Amino acid sequence: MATATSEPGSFRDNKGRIYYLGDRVFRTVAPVGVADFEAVRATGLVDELVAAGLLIREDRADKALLGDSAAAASLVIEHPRLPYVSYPYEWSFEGMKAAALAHLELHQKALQKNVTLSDATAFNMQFRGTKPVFIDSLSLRMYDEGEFWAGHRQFCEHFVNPLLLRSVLGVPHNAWFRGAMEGISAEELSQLLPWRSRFSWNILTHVFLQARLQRASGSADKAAKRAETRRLAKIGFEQILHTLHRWISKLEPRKSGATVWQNYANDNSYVDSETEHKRDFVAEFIRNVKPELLFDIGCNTGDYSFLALESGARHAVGLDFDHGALDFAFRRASDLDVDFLPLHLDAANPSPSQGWMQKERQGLMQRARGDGVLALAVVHHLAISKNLPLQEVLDWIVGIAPKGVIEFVPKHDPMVQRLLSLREDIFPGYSEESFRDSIAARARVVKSSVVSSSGRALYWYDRR
Amino acid sequence: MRATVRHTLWLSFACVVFATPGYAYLDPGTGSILLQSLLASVAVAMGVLRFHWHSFKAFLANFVASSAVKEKETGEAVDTESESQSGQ
Repeated sequence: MATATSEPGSFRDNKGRIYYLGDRVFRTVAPVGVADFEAVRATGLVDELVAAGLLIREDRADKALLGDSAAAASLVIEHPRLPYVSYPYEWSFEGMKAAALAHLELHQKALQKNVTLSDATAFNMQFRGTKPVFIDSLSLRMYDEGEFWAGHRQFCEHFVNPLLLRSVLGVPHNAWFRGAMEGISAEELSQLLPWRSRFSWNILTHVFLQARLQRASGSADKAAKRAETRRLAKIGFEQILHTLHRWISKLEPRKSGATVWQNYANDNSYVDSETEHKRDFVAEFIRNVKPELLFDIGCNTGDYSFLALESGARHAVGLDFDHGALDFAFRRASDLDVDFLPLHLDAANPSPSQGWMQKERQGLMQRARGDGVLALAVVHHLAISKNLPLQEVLDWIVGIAPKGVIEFVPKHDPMVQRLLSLREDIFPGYSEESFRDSIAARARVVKSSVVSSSGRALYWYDRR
Repeated sequence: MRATVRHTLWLSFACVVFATPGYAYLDPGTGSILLQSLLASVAVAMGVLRFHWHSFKAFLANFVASSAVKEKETGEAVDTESESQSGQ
């Protein structure tokens, strides 16, 4: 019998823990948390939130399934497995905003039933397509009349401040959040925001004033005593959530014009009939392979992921480094209601395994196990712009999924010429021949086709 | 209506005055707690002001309407019978 393994990132809350058994996901509920667990479920809130798509489903499971791992637990529930787990430092601005709003909506609904949340970590939000879903069902606990919002500071650090960084300063949150998994503190952000941003009541209070109050409390425990003797009426709690929701729903990335890749769909070296040829090739691959989970590396605004989803892929995760293109792709997928999640990725430096024991958050390659991969018009960027050895680039792509389509863009293509225009060509080995040989060394080439007059070629590989 | 105002005022008072220690496995942060009491009080105060502003506007509208009627009554003869019928 298979033994259960515990999720290394699930240790903060003493009320329970996540375990995996094969592909199945379980959550144990410890004796210390069981009374709250049952009380919350008796309100009917969990069913309501699951039906609204805001909370992950849960079913009671047999404790015996987990063996010794669940020996001390009072009960065990099972959750459906998500197609892909992503982290806030991989989300686009639009993804972060959607997650923040969903978190607040869930909390508002919870308070109506006298339930609140014990924290506000962004890692508790995951995505199904572009729809955010709350996954930590043990964070829901009964509300005590007069208590404060325990997760307010964390909500600011994990959601509000990262959004403000882009909204006010035009700086994406991803690199900072990845380096500081506790999020961005009000104390740090207040050092960076311009003076004029104090004219916004919400920024003035949630960033500047909170930072000032926090600093003041650090130097003397007088403030801490004051804090201990306060009480927050429920109407005030609800009002704070409501105001934050209204404010965040209006936040937009600071205007910086269309980014390079947002223009790519209209600005590339393809002519229309060639695009058609490329789309036909990709659609045929998808119809044949029917991937449950497809990775689209260099997804740009998501054109080929949309095509793949129409052609039979079930879930698509897009990876790109361009923030404007990702935001555009997210809005588009959300408007069209398709199962596509665009995420930020610098392929030359993917998310590492990090956090406590370097196991708390998994690296991209541990999570990126797809059934299919598209790497269209991306290899030349890695091999030429980033100087990555061509063979290693192909190793990386082929490692993501057993089947895929990879595009080769020859050196004389205008796009590659643009990359080489300001630098020396130190890539004598960058040729279709060495590309083809490298793929053939790793997988079977099912089909290949030249799809543009400049000599761009698509290779369909299968390493099974 | 007056009861609602009294209720709101009482709650805004309660926001500031009463005390309870928070509990969670997460440290909520003193700055956040002090800020929350302030935000809640301001939000409730704004609610009360907004309510009063609406009452004030309603009062003004009423006042203007009733003085217009009075003007009409004093300015010319009014057919009170048909007016009362139309009011039914």
